[in-house]
Amino acid sequence: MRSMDVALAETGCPEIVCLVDDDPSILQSVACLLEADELAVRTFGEPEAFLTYVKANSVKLAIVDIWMKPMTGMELLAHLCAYSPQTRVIFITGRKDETAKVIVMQAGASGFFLKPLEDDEFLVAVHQALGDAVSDNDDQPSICFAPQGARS
Amino acid sequence: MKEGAVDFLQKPFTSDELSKIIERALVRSTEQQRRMAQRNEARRLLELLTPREFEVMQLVVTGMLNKQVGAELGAAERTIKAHRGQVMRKLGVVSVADLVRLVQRAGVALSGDA
Repeated sequence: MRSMDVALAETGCPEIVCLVDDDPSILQSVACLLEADELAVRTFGEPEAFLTYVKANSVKLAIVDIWMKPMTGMELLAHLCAYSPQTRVIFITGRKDETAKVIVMQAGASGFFLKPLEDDEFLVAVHQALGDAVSDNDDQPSICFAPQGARS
Repeated sequence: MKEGAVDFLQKPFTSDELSKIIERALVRSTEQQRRMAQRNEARRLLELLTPREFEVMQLVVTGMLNKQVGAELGAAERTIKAHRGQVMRKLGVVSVADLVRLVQRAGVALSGDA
């Protein structure tokens, strides 16, 4: 048998996708979906914990629930723009909410998906956001939504 | 220290020495029970896997990519991906590292390729 330590060592290498949702069952199921696609995932049950992490680590992609307490995904996006503008964000939500969709997409989100997720479509968006797939607007910097005072 | 003895005392011994040894044996036994419980729980979870999922899991913990697992098992990468997702879901883990730890806890012999 090949050494399992190899697997342990290798898991440190692939890109880490951060997952932020206050529903543990969603965290688990989305994490499984991404993990099965060979993406390393770090899950956060609280938006604040993720913010702490993102201040200390470079995060390329975050998948964020919109309706969380005490901080909504939109508020989290505003903080991200200040602390980590290079982080791309894909939103997931249980509510069909066109307004929220328009707002976050205008603010530069890389995707907006309804739960339960349409797996394939979602994974395509994830890989695109990670820059795995060739995409037209790959070099386009993510636009940020500037809450007052967050950006000059 | 064989045949299950955990310590030995030479006579004469004080009651203090005896109680220390008993205490040590109890700590050790508690620890052992905890490990056994963990092992049983890990095994119970692994038993939830179908034979095919178990095969996929065995290869995934070696660090193989889906494509390689697919080649090894003669299945499409897509199918492997679905199995792999199921494995993670059933075992309640979210990373290969967690999966490896669970398998190690279970102490099952993996019949990997020779």
